[in-house]
Amino acid sequence: MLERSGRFVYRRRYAVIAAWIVIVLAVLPFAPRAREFLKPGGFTNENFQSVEARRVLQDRLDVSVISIEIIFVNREWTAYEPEYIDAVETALERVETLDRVVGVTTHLGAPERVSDDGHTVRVSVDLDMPLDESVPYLDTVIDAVEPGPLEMLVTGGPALYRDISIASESDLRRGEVIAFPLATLALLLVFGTLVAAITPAAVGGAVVAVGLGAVFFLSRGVDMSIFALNIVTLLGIGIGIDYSLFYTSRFREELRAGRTVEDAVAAAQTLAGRAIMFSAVTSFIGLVSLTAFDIMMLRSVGIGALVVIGTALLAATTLLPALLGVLGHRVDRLRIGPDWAQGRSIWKPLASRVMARPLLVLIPTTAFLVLLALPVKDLRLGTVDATVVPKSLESRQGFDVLQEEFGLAVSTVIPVAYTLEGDPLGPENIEHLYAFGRAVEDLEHVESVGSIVSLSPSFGPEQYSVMYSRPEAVTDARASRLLRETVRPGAVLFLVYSPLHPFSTEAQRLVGEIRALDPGPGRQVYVDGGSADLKDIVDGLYGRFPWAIAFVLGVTYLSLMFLFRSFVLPLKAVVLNVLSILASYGALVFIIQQGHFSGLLGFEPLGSIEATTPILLFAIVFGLSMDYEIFLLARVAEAWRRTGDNRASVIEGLQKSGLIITGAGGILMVVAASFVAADIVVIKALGLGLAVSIFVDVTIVRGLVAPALMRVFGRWNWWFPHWLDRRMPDVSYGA
Amino acid sequence: MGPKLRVAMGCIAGLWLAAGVACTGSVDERPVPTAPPAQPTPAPRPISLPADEGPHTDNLEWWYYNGHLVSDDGTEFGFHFVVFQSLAGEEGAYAAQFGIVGVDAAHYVHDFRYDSIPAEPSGALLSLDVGGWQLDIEEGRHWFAASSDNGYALELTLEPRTPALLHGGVGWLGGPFGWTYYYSWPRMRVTGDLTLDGERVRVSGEAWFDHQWGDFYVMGHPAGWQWMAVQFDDGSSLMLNESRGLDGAVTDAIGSYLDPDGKAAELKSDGDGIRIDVLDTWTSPHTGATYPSRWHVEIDSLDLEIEVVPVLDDQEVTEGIPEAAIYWEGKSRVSGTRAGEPVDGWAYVELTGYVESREIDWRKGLYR
Repeated sequence: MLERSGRFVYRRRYAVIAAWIVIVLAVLPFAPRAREFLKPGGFTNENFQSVEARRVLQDRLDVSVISIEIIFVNREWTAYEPEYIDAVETALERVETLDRVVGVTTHLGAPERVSDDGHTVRVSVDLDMPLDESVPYLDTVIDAVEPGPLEMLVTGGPALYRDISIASESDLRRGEVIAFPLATLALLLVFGTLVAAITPAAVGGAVVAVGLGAVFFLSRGVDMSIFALNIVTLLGIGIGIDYSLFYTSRFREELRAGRTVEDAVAAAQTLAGRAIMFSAVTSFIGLVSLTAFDIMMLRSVGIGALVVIGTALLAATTLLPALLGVLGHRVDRLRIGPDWAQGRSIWKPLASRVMARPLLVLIPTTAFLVLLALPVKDLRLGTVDATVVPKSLESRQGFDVLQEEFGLAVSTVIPVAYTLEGDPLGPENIEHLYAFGRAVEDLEHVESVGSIVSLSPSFGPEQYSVMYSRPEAVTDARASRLLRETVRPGAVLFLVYSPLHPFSTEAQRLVGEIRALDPGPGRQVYVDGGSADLKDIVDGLYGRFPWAIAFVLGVTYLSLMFLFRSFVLPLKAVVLNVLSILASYGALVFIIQQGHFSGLLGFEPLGSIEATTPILLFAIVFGLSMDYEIFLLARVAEAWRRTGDNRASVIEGLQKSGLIITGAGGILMVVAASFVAADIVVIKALGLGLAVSIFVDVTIVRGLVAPALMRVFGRWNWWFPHWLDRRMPDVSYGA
Repeated sequence: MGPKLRVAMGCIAGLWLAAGVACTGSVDERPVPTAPPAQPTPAPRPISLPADEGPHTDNLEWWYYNGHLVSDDGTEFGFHFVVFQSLAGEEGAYAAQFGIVGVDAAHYVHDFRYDSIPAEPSGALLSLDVGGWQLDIEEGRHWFAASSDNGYALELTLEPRTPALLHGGVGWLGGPFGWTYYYSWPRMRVTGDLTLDGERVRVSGEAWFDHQWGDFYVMGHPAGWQWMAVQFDDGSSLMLNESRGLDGAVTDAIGSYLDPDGKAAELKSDGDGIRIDVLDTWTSPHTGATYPSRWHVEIDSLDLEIEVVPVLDDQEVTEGIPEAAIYWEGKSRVSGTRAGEPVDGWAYVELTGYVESREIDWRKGLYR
């Protein structure tokens, strides 16, 4: 069937190219607009307990969840000197009149909003709108502020999301500007001729354009993350070029073997096309697993990646054979690099040496991979905060001030909504609220609790009941503020303070312990905050992650079993892929979390890895690593079917695919490495993880470990029951 | 779809379903345990001076001064200056107020500041900066400086001339809203400067100092108090306090008396026959609250009968504090008899809990 399709495309090559030109021209105007409907958030899910808690806080306690944080600084005056107070009031005068501003909280009456040295003040401007709308509204608020003698920094959710959008777009441009020329250069090195190098680059470009256009249309109907753009570009360039490289290389090989152009296209379509199809299938499997997660960011990145892989597959099996059909022997024109096919291959001697002493290769290489993976044991997951954007952006600078001067995001504050029936200040409710507050205070790692029933250790429910029998008569400014701001009919807010880092596992455990406190019938406890967010994300993601892994491994195993008619080879492939991924996780922890080489790479160590990154990395890396495994095994299997000699087949397979795998890996590594230059640390981490895993995969795993293992397994590599062979779909290699 | 492909698809679907239905773990629920009792009220310890002049870590504390001043040209003034410290964990909030009344000019000004910066550790017993106003206490010497935006200021140095007066006998009082340590320097020599409408005036006179700290809350209308600090011309001093509960009824009246020789006596309503009768009222144009404004005071055990008359009705402190905490703090003249002999003097009277604050927004229309 594949051969027929190759001949079909060859015969209608001009029509196919014309069709692609029409498609690319049709989507081209939309590709630059791809980000129009994309959302900067999407790291959480509506069904999470923390999100439900946020709704309760918003709906029942009037707690604003969208606020712009404005930081004022004046080195001459302290916050409560009249000049400072006047300046703050003047600065915010117009802000308070804006129609979507529902509250402005200054330091007046809220001493916790003043830094220890008294020169810095934090103001919250609460907005009555969802986060998406708040980003464009940010400028309206900023324009309304008249800081006068005060220095001003703007941060908070809307500012951070605006900066994420700005930085991710510039990352995208930078990625494209670096990746395309470098990838083309790598292609030149592999093929040696300008024409052969430009062809896959053109296919990669077409894939990116169509992928971005598809994202534009998809994102109008489905919530998609802004990070989908980066993934589409990365995979579009990387995989588009990878597939084309493999295909073009086969085409040239067939031409050199003396076939006509049509026959060469048909052969490339049959052999390389099949490998590409299975590569795409395994990549699909890895990425489809992303859609099982109830996290918009992962789901949309998965969708974007699926679109791009589908497009890459289509382009590699239609556009590319058509282009090669038109080019024919001219594909080798304009030589400007070495012709590797004429030179002496390093792969054959390498493979021969590995085959001669497989254990001598296996033991140190496996030990090295395990060493690379070791830092994984220190993995600490985190959520997205302003530390993902660079220090040059205002929202990050403001966040740093909040951290340094106010201790925010360094220690943990857990907002808890306690819902009840009847008068919240009635004696019975006060008794229950008091008991809950004390129970929370008694939990490990709780430093203090802020609530109307936590004012003084010497006050019990009786005293509070007396005080709150006339709440308007409370003269203490703090108690009065708590009564007005943290109590509503049917709900009371508790703020739980802990010295723990919000991303620590102890903080997440604390969230679980608070949630586990059953306040009794008619009462309910809802826990929100950064630690709760993280706990829900980690529980939501990593509760499913083992199953997603099992799904991907299982389906990949089955696919490879169909393809190679072997029990052992798929198992070996799956295990080696897992090793590559673990090595990339280890590198992530070592570099991004622990900060080694952070100066060289230009970022601030995060102290954690954003929770979706390992999953995203798994989904992408698994598919890519499997590409190389299939490219390698495809050639080995061809030789095995022909010769029946395991050792010779492995040597031949490695000899014939080594350059392609190294070239393809090198190109993808270059593309991934261009993302290491990203400003957004999440993208940088992803680029780094990908680059490391690809490097490990195409060098140590495919070059050394895989052939050594095949030598160790010997004929068991190819053992497959005859009865099963007959019952399976006929897609096998060389069958 | 052929049977072989169906088998393959079935395998994939099975694995997919397994991934989809996997759920997360949870922690076992447990009922909220019965709350342990609140921290018991501590047994009072003896007040230790000068160490206790400095700040403490209880939830509420204040340093309060009032006084009667005369300028070099004989013009009479009254003042009060107070700093409140409110602690919640490590967070501190400070509020300060002053009022200056010109007796002849019948003119009253007041202002406020607040801050969150805790007392600086220093060689002094206390060194506070509240929004630019300063208060320093060293052994035997108090100093403060405060100025308003509209050209009024005071910078005064005060030195105790009598022993400290420990209220409640030992300097500790308990009540329905908590407990407090409480002592006074009822007679402090004052020297310094007042600035009046931009003009600096040298003054001297006599002041009263109160220091309270503890775990207690002050409740507003209808709860509150009438408090008087009287400095008689014969050198004796008297503190009187009449408290009201949340129903507005008088719950207690207590006092302390220091005779000219420095001998203190604790006064109680039941044993000492304290009576405070209001003779007149004044309604504030600022808050609409009606305050007592002239009093007849009798204390049987001292054979004392006096009338207390404010030098000016409008000495209400309205700014920088929650509505429920608005108070009246006024210089007053004292005249009467003790043991049948005429006795005169000056007093400062403090009235709290007369302003009915607005209903909290979320309670409007509820629970009636």
